[in-house]
Order: sequence, then structure tokens, then C-alpha cells
Amino acid sequence: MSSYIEFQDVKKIYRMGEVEIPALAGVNFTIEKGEFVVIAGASGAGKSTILNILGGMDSCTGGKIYVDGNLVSDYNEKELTTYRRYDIGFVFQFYNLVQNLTVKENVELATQICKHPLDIDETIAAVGLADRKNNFPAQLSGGEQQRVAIARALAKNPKLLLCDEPTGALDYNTGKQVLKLLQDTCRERGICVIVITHNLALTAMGDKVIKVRNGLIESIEINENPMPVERIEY
Amino acid sequence: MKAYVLDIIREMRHSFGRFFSIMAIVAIGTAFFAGVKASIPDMKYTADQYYKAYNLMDIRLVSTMGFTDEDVEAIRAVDGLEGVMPAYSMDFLTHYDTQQYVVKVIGLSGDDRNDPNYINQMRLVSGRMPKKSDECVIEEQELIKSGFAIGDTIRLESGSEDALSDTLKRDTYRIVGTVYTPDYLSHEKGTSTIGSGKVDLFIGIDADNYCSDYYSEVLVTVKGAKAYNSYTDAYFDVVNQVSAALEQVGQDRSDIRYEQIQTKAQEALAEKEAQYEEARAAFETEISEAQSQLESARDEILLGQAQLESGKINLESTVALSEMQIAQNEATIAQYEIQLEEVVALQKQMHEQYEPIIEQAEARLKEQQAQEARLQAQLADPALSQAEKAALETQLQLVQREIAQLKSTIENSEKAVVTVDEKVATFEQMIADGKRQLEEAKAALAAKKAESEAQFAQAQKQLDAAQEAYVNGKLELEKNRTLGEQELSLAAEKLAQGKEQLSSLPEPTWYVLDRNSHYSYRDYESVTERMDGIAKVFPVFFLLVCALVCLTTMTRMVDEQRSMIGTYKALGYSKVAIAMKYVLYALVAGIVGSVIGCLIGMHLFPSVIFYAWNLMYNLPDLQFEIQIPLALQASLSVIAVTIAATIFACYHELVEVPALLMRPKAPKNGKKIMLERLSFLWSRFSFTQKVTARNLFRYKKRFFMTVIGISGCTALLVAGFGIQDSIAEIVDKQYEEIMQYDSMLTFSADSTYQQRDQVETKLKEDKQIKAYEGIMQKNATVNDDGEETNVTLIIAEDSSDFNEFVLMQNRRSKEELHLNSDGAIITEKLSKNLGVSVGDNVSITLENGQMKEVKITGVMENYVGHTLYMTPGYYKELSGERTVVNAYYIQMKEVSDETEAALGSRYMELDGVSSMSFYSGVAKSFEDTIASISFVVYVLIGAAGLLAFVVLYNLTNVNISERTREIATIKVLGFYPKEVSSYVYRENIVLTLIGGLCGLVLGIALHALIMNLAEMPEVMFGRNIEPLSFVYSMILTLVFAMIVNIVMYRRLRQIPMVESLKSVE
Repeated sequence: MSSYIEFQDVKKIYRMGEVEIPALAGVNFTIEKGEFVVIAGASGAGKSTILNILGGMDSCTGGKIYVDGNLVSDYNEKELTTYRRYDIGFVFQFYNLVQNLTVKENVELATQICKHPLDIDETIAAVGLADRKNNFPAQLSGGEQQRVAIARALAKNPKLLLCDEPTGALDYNTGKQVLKLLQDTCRERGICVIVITHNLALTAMGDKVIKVRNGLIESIEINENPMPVERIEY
Repeated sequence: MKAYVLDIIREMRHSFGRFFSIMAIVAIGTAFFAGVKASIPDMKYTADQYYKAYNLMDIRLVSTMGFTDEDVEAIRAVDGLEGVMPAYSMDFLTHYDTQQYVVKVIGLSGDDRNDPNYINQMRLVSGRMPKKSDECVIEEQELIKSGFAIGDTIRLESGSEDALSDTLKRDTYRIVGTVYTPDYLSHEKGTSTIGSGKVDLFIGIDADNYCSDYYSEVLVTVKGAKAYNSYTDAYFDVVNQVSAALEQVGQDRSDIRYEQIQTKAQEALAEKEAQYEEARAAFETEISEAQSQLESARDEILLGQAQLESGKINLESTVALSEMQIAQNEATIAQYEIQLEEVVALQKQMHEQYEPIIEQAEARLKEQQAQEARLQAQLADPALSQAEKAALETQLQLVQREIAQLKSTIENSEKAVVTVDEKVATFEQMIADGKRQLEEAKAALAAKKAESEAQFAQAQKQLDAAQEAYVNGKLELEKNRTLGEQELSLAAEKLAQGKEQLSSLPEPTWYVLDRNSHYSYRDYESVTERMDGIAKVFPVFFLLVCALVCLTTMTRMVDEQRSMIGTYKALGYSKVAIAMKYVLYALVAGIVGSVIGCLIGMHLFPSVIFYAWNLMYNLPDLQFEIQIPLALQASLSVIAVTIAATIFACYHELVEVPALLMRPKAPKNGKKIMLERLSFLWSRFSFTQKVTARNLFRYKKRFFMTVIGISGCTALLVAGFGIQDSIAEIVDKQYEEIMQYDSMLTFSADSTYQQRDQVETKLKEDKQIKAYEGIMQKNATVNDDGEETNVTLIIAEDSSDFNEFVLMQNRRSKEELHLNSDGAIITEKLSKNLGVSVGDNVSITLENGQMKEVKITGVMENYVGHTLYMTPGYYKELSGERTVVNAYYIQMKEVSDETEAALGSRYMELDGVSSMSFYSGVAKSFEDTIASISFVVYVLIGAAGLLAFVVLYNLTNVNISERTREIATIKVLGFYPKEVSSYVYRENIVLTLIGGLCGLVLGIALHALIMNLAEMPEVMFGRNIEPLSFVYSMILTLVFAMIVNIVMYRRLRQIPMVESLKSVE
């Protein structure tokens, strides 16, 4: 049976003028539907590159990528945009909210272009920001902003929820709150959630842990019993 | 409301500075584009409205033979006419002080402005329209400044051989008002066949003052033409139909008229011939009469002479006779005298004889008487006796007898003595008488001689006089005969000529002239066309700047929002959707900006341009024509440019993958610049200087944008100052350097050689005159691109010192030109218009109609008027005519109002002098007219400043935003605020300097372009830009740059160190 997500010998080389930088040297892995995957590795290993390519935000220079039966690596730009629009929800390390829009409007921004969005107010309430709906990002703390970003990604009702170091800019407790949210979402809604981190302690919460090193997959581990976030100490 | 749209709106509000700068540059660009372009239709519209309001004719009919009432009726019968006005208009001369003017005298028949037949209505400026036939209105004098004012009287004189009274009933009119007319939009009123060749003024008088048989023109308006703007084709479509009909009428009437004229002329000719014959006959008779008179006179003279001769002879014989008689008488007298002597002797004897006897007798008598008495007494005594009485009585008787005897003795003796005495006396008397008579006769003779001599002398004199008179008479007869014959032959010649002319008389032609042949209409049109030329250049320039500013601004915006764009992309928004944000941002700014720009620009620029031109034209107030298409065109162009710039700015970001967008933009690779290769120079630079140099050459886009913007600003300043320089200097150049004479004296066309000679003598002796030069001035025309242009031919009597009066030099090479007999020297503008240079030939038509080829030997610098200078020899070669001085250039020792007035009055009263012009006044009024073009200059300077400000502001803004991190870093490193600002500003200043220098060069080209476009046909503007102007332009540019820097200084100070240095990663 083919997996939900499949990377086959994916290569990525960055060209900047005359300089060539190989970011991925041939990556292979699979991810099943509804899995909570943690991609870990040192800084500059290639974790973000994998996520970006998976999320349609970048293209690979070699290899094949299958998502839900579609050969994403062959998508042209338009198809990539469509892919991002309907199938992907992305959470960034630095939130990347639109400063000019309120919390609610930031979420609306995402929902107004997708096919079957979730109810906005519910999603906002689900991330615990119901009473901050009409505030601007500048008026929120880091954690609140990240939760908005998550709400934004969630409300799209995507197939995949990709998070690039979601807790990187947050403190210990807030980070754990955010991670809990992610885990709950994965469990409750059955969405495939992929989280990048360089904090190895978090690998315990994932169903699958993919370790990346120097542009190659170092190891893929499966956790039979992923730990709930509250219990992780780091 | 879509969240995404909300984002756009809020973006506009939050970054209002940026929004505003785009709006501002779009507004400026549109204002210039639409404004300058709008001025053309507005000006045409204004002119057309003026034409409509004052009923300018659609068609003017002129004929080589004038129009009769029948002609006018035929015209009225044509279909499609609204108003028909037959009119009189003729040129005359007048003087104000010493200045002669050519006046066009227009006949007005009523001033009811609602009358459709009152065509070419007068626009009253001050005073009132004439009500009586001795009143007139005169052209408003603002531009001409002849001196005539309301209340003055103007006296007209004929400029041709025909007397004024042939055409006008009166020659003096009182000015009661000043007017303009749509027929003449500027001071140019066309040419004239009299005076200086150009019409200087017009006056309007009651048409009844004209006593001519013919109308000089017929003015016509066309039904329905007023519905169109006369500068459009639709108007001409309507008018042309009527023109065609009128041409046909003209053809027909011309034929009729021709017949009429031929018949009339034949009659007149026959009459004249008869007169001639009569005159000839009379002449012959008179001559022969005179001849015979002379002959009889001669005969008389001869007779007289003969008479005189015989008289003389008579006299001689008479004199001889008289002298003979006198001699005889003298002899007789001598004889008498001898006789007298004898008688005297006898007398003596007698006396001696008788006297004693008498004495005795007397004594005795006495005694006897006494006795008698005694006796008587005794007798008386009564006592006497008779005897006694008888004795006494006997005694008495005896006594008485003795007494009686004695008495008779005495008596006889006395008688004898007396007889002798008487005889003596008689002889003496006779002698005395004779002598006296002789004297008398002698005297009479002498007198008679003298008298006769005198008479003879007189007679001789008379004869001599008569002789002389006769001789003179003869000469005079000859003379008169010759003269008479000459005149008769002349008259015969004229008759022959007249006959010939009549036989070769061209058919009268009607000219149906629509507005395309109307000078003012075309002139104003060409003004708008010139503006059109300018309008093509400027907007392009501003569009370019607009594009640049938008590009930089939007690039900056897109760069700042790089990660935002990445996010949008990550969310799945398409490129188009994301680009829309920025496009809409620019679009809204653009729309608002263009609306403002159009509103302001389409009112401001047409006004400025119109009023600048209206200093030379006399239209009433500007009327705006609503020009939606233009506004749209301008706005859309500018907005399109803006959006194109925006899209160009976004494009690079949009094609990148989201992943890349979310990382900060990779800084441009550091590279060595060329300057570094010069290591000996490079090593001497300080750190900051090196940084400045690197930054300058690495960021090429910024470099070019600043340089282009600044050079544009400087170029505008240079052009502006240059315009002022060029225009201001032509007055000095023309009236001080080129024309080195202070005054010009012109003779009238009918002056005689003697009169001119007299004037020259006076000039020679005049102490107030430094020098003078005789010239002959002639009018000619050249064909300039289909248009007939007037040129003046100046033939210098003495070409060797002519250069002292007129500086003839080539403008570019500064080489001095000299007159020679190979050809003529032409003025620069004319040569440019005709496209000729040294060695080429120019076709000119002389006054007498001959067409000749003139060879050009030099092109001279000149700013006003078209002239050809040549030697008398060359002129003779051209025309066959001899050079006759008809004017003098005069250099005065001292030039002032008083000396000019004195000189003027001294010469104007001499016969033959027609006018004296003084150039100090001309220069002054020209200056006034031209100096007002400063308006345009100030607008240009304003635009330049605005441009500089916006460009520099934008660029500094961009500069600072892009280098926030860099600037924050050096702040952290410990640079003082001043050092921080100079870090940034050093580049600004270098860029401004480079841009300024480029702008100086660009400005020269821009200036030349504007001057070319804005020139009037007969004036050449200088091409000079004063060095000082370049300095001013550069300084002003730097000042503008300084202002921006000062304003931005605050922003630099406010860059927060920490926030700026926060990293994304």
C-alpha cells in the first residue's frame, strides 16, 4: 500500500550565482495519514528544506514526492499554488501574521480562499483566543500570535499541517501549550501533523521521528507509544 | 469584506507617507501632462469663443477691382449665408511727433452687436464707440505705444499718389475709445503698399466717411458655422460649401464687371484722347500765335529802331537849324547894338540940346504961370475997370499965349527927347528882348537837346529791353514748345500705355478667403502648435520621473513585505492575487493623484501658458474647454506607468518560491569596484570614503535614479534661467551691439533730390550728430515654405564704413562679415527659415514684381526682422536700378529724451523728411513685452524644485529604509548622529553633484529645444546661457538637496538600534 506521503530520493541544490549549495542529497521516507511526525536534526541539516518542499513552498531538483497519490514534485507553479491553497496548512517559527489585520481577519484571510474551511470563530475559540478576536497581532504576546497562526492553518482544513519550529520563539510553558494544541488536533481531527524541531526532547511526542543530518535521512524511528506533551520535560 | 482587501486598505492608511509620495508624483506627472496638453484646446476654444462672440467673418471676399452694390446683391443671393457686410478698409499715413505710422482705416456701419450683419465687431476696451462722423476708435495701444490716446486727434495723410479726398470725406478724427478686434489677435496686422510696408495701427470710423464707389471687401458669415469650433474640420465642411458657391458668384460677377470696366475705361480713354487732341490743337495754336506775336514784336522793334534813327536825324537837323538861327539872331542883335550906340549918341545930343531949352522954358513958364495967376487974381477983382480988365485980359492972353507956346515948346522938346528916349528904350528893349529870346532859344535848344537825348536814351533802352524780351520770348517759346511737346508726348505715351493696359487688363478676380487664409487665426493656431511641441516633450520627462519614483517606492515596499508575500504564497494565494495588493495600492494612489493632478494642472497650466502668450496677443479671458478624453489619456498613461513600475517591482519577488521569500533577502554580493584597481588612489581613501565609493557604484539602480532625477531638476533650472538670459539679451544685442545707430531718418516717396541734398547738408553740419550713413531701403518678399514673408533690402551707399553702423558678424564663428558686390548678407533667422547658407541662392520678389536670385555671401547674427544687406553695385545687377538714398542711419553724440526730441523736430520740419525713428524707445517697449515671459521661467523653476524635492525625498527614504540595519549597526558601534548622517549624505551629495553636472549639459539641450519651439517667426531668440545661470542652477539644486537632507535628518536620528537589528532567523 502506498503511503500518504512519500519522498523518493529527493535532492535539492541551491544555486546562487556561481555558488551551489546542496541542501538535500537524496531523501527517502514515508508518512501515513494522521501521523504526528517530528523531524529533528541540527541547525542547517535540511529539515526546513524538506518541509518547504513538502509544503509546496519550494521545489526539488531531483527525486519524486507523492502526497495522497499526487506527484507533487511534478507540479507546475499554478498547481503548486492550488496545492498550497487547499491541501497545506503551514505554521512558521516567526508566526508571519499580517500586522494590518485582526486575529479574526488573519484567519479569514486563509479561509476565504479554500474550499471547505472550518468555522472561524470555533477555530479561534479552539485555540483559546475567543476574546482576542479583534486584536491586532501587535497587541498579542508571542504565544497568542503563534496560536493565531495555528488557527489560521487549522481553519483551512488542510490535509497536512506543517510546522517549522513552532515553539522556537516561545518560552517553555507556552511552547508546551502550543504543542498540545498540535497534538490534539492531530488526534482529534486525524490530520497529518509534521513538526520540525532541533529540540530532541520533543521527539518523544511523535508517532514517527525522522532524523536528518547533512541533507540525508539519518534514521526513521516509530514510537509505539507517543508521550503526551504535558509529560515531556525539557 | 475580504480580509485580503482589508489588508490593502489598512496598508494604505498605515504607510501614508509612501502612499502620499506616489500620489504626489502621479499628481505632478498628470498635472504637467494633462495641463500642458490641455492648454492647446483651451487656447483654441478661447479663440473660437472670441470669434463667435464678436462675429468674426467666416469668409472674406476681396477683389482686384473692389465690389459694387450689384456685386453685394449677388453675394446676398447665395444660399446658406447668415450675415453679409460690405466694408471699406484702406491704409493711410499719420504722424505722432516725428514717428510715421501706417494706419488701416476701417469703416464701421453701426455697432449693434446683435445684428448678424455687423461682422468683425469691435471689442471696446475703454471710452466709447464713435457716434459722430468726426470721431473714431483706435486700436488699444498697450503693445504699440504710439502715443495716441483718447481725446487726441489723428490726422490722416495719403500714402500714395492718389489724394486722400478721393476716398475719404475728412482727414481728421477725434479718438473717443480704444478697441480690439478678433480680426487682429496680435500687433501683426499684415503688410501695406504704403509707408513702411507694414500696418502699424487701425482705427474705426463711420463708414459714411468713405466716398469711394467701391467696397474694398465683403465679409460673410455662414449659417450653421457657429455650431462648430472653427479649428476643426467639421467647421470647414460647412464653410467650404458656401465658399464654392461664392467662388461661382465671383466668377460670374467678375465677367460682368470686366465688361463694365472695359466699357468705362474705353469711354474714359476716348475722352482723354479727345482731350489730348484738343490740348494738342490748343498747343499748336498757342504756339503759332505766340510765334506771330513774337514776329510782330520784332517788327515793332525794328520800326522803333528806325523811328529812333530818324528821330535822331531830325534832331540833328533841327539843332543845326536852331543853331543857325541863333547865330543869325546874334548877328541881328549885334547890329542893333551898333544902331543903339548911334541912337544913344543922338539921344545924348538931343538931351544936351533940348534940356536947357526946356529948363528955360519951364522957368519962363513958371514965371508966366505965376503971372497968369496974378493976373487972374487981379481980374477977379471986381473993382476993376473995363480997360484995366481988358488990359489985364490982353496981358493975360499974352501970358497965356506964351504959356501955351512955352508949353508947346516944352512939349515938343520933351516929345523929341522922349521920342529919342523911346527909341533908345525901344532899341534897348529890342536888344534885351532879342538877347533874352536868344538865351531862351539857346536854353530851349539845350533843353530840347537834352530832352531828346534822354528820350533817345530811353527809347534805346526800351528798344534794348524789347530786344532782350524778344530774345527771351523766343527762348521761352522754344522752351515751352519743347516742354509742351514733351508733355504732349508723355501724355501720348500715357495714352498708349493706358490703351495697352486696357487691352492687357486682367479680369478682375474675386478671392474667397476663409479662415485658413486669415493671418491671426493661423498665427494663433501656430502658437498652439508650438505649445503642442513643448507638450510632447515635457510630459515624457515627467512620466519618466514618475516611473522612477514609483519603481523605487514600490520596490521598497515589496522588499519590506517580503516575508508577508511569502506567507501569502504559503497560504496559497496566487501570484496575481498577491500582486493585486501592490497594484491596487499603486492604483488607488494613482487615481487619487491623477484626479488631483488633472484638476489642478488643467486649470493652472493653461492659465499660465495662455496669459504668458496673451502678453503678445489680445484675446479676452481664458475659457476652459472640458477635455475628458485628455484627462483620461493623461491619467491612464500615468497610472499605467505607475502600475507597470509596481508590477516590475513586485515581479522579482513574486517569482521566488515562498521558502526563499521568507528568508531575508540575500544582500548583494560584495564586489570590488573599478576604483579599487587604482590602488595608489584607493589606499589614500579613508574608511568612510571607501564605503561611500563602494556604495555609489554597487547600487547602480539607485545611482541612476538619483542622477536622472537630479539632472532633470538642474536641466529645468538651466533651461529656465537660460530662457530669461536668451530673451533678455536679444534686446541688448540687437539694439546696442548690432544696430549701432541711434536713429533712422526716412525720406518720403516723393521727396526731390534738392530736398534730400538739403537734409544731408544739414546732417553734415549738425553738431549733435556724430556720424550718419545713407542707405536705400526697399521691400521685397520671399517664399518661405509656401508663405510669403516680408524681407527688407538694405543697400548701403558706402559699404566701406557700413560696419560701423550695423555690426555684421557670424554668430557662431564671430567672424566679421563685409559687404561686397558678389552677393548679399542675410540675417540668421531668415537663413534658417529658408534653409540656406553661404553660397546658396535665395529667390526674392522685388517691389516691382520682378523675381530675382540673390546669392548669399554671409549669414549675420540678427534677432529682429528679416533683412538682406548688399552693395549698390549688386543691387544694380539685380534690379537694374540705381541706388537712391532714401534713409539715413544716424549716430547721435548724446542720446536722451531731450536730444531725441530736439533732433526730431529739427528734421521733421524739413521738406521731404517723412519720419524719424529713435531706437531707445523701441528697445524699451520690446523689453517690456519680452520680459513678461518670466512667467514661464518661474513656473519652470517651481516645477524643478518640486521635482527635485520629490525625487530626493523618495530616494533618501528608500536609501534609509534599505540600510536601516547598516545604519543601526554603525550607531551601535558608536558613531555620533552627525557622523551617521554624513555616512548617508555623503553619497547623496556626490550623487547630487554628478546629477547636477549632467543636468547642466542636459539643460543646454532642453533650453535649445524650448527656444526653438517658442520663437516667433520674425524674431530669433538668442541661444545664450550666461555662465552665472549655470552657477545659479547648480546652487539651487544643491539647496533643494540640502532641504531634503535636513528634513530626513530627523528620521535618521530616530532609527532604533535594537529593533532594526533583530534578525529573522
